[in-house]
Amino acid sequence: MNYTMLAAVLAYEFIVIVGLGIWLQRRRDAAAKDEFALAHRSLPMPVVAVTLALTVLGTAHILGVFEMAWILGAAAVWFSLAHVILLVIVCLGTGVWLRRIGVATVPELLQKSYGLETRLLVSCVMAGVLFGILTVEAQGIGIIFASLTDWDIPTGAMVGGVLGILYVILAGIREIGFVNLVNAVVMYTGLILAVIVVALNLPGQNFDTVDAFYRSADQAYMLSIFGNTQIMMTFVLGTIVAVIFSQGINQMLLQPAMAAKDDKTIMRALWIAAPVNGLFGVFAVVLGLTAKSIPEFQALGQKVAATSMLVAFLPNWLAAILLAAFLAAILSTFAMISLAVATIFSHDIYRTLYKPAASEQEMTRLMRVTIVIVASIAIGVASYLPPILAAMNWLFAWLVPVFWIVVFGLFWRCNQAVAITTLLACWIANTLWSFTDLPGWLGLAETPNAIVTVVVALLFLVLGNALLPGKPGYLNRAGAEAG
Amino acid sequence: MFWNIFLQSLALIVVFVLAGQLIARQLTARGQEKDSG
Repeated sequence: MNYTMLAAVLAYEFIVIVGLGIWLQRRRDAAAKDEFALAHRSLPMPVVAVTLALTVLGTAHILGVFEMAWILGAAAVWFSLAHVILLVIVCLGTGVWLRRIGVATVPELLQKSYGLETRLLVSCVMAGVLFGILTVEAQGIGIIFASLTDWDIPTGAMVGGVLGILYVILAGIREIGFVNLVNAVVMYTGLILAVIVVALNLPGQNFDTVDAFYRSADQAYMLSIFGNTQIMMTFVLGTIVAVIFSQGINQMLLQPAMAAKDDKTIMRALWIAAPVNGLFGVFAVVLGLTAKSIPEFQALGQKVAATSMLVAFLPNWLAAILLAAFLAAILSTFAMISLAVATIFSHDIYRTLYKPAASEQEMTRLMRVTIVIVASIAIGVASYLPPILAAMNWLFAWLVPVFWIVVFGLFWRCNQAVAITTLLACWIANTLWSFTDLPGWLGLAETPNAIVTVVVALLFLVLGNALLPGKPGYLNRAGAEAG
Repeated sequence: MFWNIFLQSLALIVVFVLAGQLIARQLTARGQEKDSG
């Protein structure tokens, strides 16, 4: 890509982000409760929908799906479809519960259900996990820049990171939401045009040769989203479990839901959020399958074949739009994670432990400083990281027990000792699974961390709550008190 | 190839959303019944 096009993409991002940010900052009421973190709980449906969709659409959706399509074929689209099921659960379940209860963070709900100790333990770990995911997203921004320009990864991560900070620093979640609304349009324009131009570059100017390539290699299953039985039982099932239980209670995804105008807004948002997130995978899978079917790109291997094909086939102007599209996907996630870490630190640690009477202006200032510090460190370490999918597998599994203690604590029974024991047992199991030979000894080397932590969490919570006394579930408690 | 993958995925998205709404509606109705009982 030439420098004029690159400059045009960066100028577009800068103008949209800073322009909308300043406009929203001037319109907002700085003293309104939770304006920066939750937009005073007033976000309209389209903004909530697009923000939910883009928050869980990041590096793994782009680079990960290209690679998965190479190995698994069209069934890789289940990575996106698993996120659709996740959005169904958030928009009709967890997101609605948290919005109705009126909390600002997931750990705050845990204090209401269990007690302060559980809140503090989960807030520290959740902030750490989110920081880990932020470093992976920073790495992703660097790789995308390196693929489509001649920049190196650290330079790309730094430029993307600065845009990511600007994406949130001026007007908080309101800024993220409205910039997302504009960027979603750019994202789909870039993807659709890229797929059309790639098809026009193929013999016959359609995907028939791709189809013929897999059929002649006796790999027709690569062309079906249902793959074969083995893919459905291992990859698809494992991905659905991992995505739902790891992300279903993640602050970064639930914060836009908590910022919605009311719970009906969240439920209606599902009709937009689900296709916006889910169909992204279709385009990524088609590009990944096509790259593998062309010998010159197949020779480059699964990691760079798809991006190399895009660079070779797309004219400069379209490569620029596609870069803007990929940046839209990753920057929205980067900004939302930064805000989620800052919200947890300011609400669950600073205000809870040190300054209960902190004013809104003071909280906003603290969140802005936290965003800059956390994002800067993430950009700094982005070049020294493990492979993206392995890092995600370990990081997200930390949140699995949090999902289950929230569900048990709302609907069944709350015993803080059981909750804390469950959390610690799952976190130890997750770490052993990633950093020792335990999976190999047990003959379960292919089992993802999330499934292991689901099993451990359910074991401890069911046995613990069945054998030990505890307070009634939070929602039952509220009903009993009212009665 | 493209349209197969696109249409199958879109159909699944619609099915997941509708199934989710059906389950949520039934659970809400059951909860209200329990509360009033």
